[in-house]
Parts: sequence; C-alpha cells; structure tokens
Amino acid sequence: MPKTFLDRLDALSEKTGVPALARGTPRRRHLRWTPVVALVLASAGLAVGLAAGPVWRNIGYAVLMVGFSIATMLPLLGPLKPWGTAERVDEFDRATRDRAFFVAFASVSVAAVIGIWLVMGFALLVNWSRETLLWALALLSLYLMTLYGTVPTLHASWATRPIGDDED
Amino acid sequence: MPAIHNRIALFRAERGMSRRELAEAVGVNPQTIGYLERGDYSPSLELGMKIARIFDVPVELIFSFEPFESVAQALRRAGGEA
Repeated sequence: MPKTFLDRLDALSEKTGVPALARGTPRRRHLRWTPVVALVLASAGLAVGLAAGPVWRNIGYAVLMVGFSIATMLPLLGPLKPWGTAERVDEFDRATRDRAFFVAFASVSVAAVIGIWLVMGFALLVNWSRETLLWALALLSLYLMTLYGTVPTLHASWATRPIGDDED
Repeated sequence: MPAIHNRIALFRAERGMSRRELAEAVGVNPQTIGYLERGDYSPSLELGMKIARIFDVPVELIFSFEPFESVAQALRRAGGEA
C-alpha cells in the first residue's frame, strides 16, 4: 500500500526524535565532537564580541548564539539522561550524570570568576560605556549558559565508551 | 579506588541469558550490564547482590578485587590435577 501524505508526515516527525523523547525511548548517543564545536564557536563569538568594534561585535554575538543553540540541543540527544525524564534512569546513569554535572558546575564557576574580572578589567582599562558593559555582561551570561549546556555532554561522552545494541 | 573484577559475562553465557534479560531482572538498562562486564563501572552493593541472587551464587563468586582466573586456565589446572 502506498504511503499517504499523513504517513510521510508521521515518518518525518519520527525522524526528529521528538516523539521518541515523549515516549521515553530516545536514541541517546555519545556526542564527542558536537560539544567541542559548540564551545569553540561560543568562545570565538565571546572573544570577538568583547574585543571587536561595533560591526564585528554583532558577528561575534551571532557566532556565540550558534554555539548556544547547539548547546541547547545536546541534552536531548547526548548520553546523559536529564532529571525528570520518562526514561529508565539506573545507578550508572545517575553516577555518570553526577560526575558530569560536577565538572560542569566547576567549569561554569571558574569561567564566571575569570569572565567577571575580565569584563571589569576591560571596563576600567578601555573606559567602556554603560551600554558596552551591559552588552559584555549579556555575552558572558550566554557563554556561561553555553558552558552549562555543553560540558556535561562533553564529559559524559568522553568518560564512557559507547556500548552497541548488538554486543549481546 | 580498587577495580572490581567480575564474572557476569561467564555466568550469563552459562545460563544462556541475554544482557537485556539480566538487565530487566535486576532493574537496570542493558548498557549498564555491558559497562559492568567491560569493567568500566563498579556496581553498588545493592546491584551486586541482586546480580548474585539472579545467578543463585554468593556475591564473591561473581565479584572480586583480584582478577579471576580465565576459563582456559581453570580447565588446564583442573586437567593437571586429575
């Protein structure tokens, strides 16, 4: 029987992974390089956004936003099962998640301290205006959120080796 | 922390049990059994005892701080003693 338009739409929505997520059976995988890409983009965007002139500043912001957007998708697809998920979370999942988020919180804390001093230093040295200072703080906040989104997936993906379904 | 060695794969093969079946029996994901068998993860006391109960053996027969003798070595030793 040929597939109808609605069947094709169903198949398309399945491919997005959202229905599996709602059922509690998403296909989680080790994402070793995607978080690295997100972090590189976010770091480059932050550097350009803080150091460059008005035109490049917006480009830096755009690059940082791309990194941030990738970071928001990682918890949906990565190896860590988030709190409150419908999936079965066993002791191994909890241990992996605890370690990954411990590293993430440490990274965010260190980056926040360095970032605040950096922004304050720039503001004093270059005599930033109030708007520039607010802009820099907004970029820093986005960067910290990107770190929070990427580091747990990055840690979990490199700390464990994937196990295939066929290894029975 | 010392590594904990185990013979889960051996017991599972002996009973003809799949990873998924053992995982269901002890209430974890099949991948977790895989990580245990590969030595990438040391189980909690609760999980260790649950696994031992499934195979109906004392927990020290499955888990040990020292590496277990391989089946081939055990057979050779048994053949030498006979």
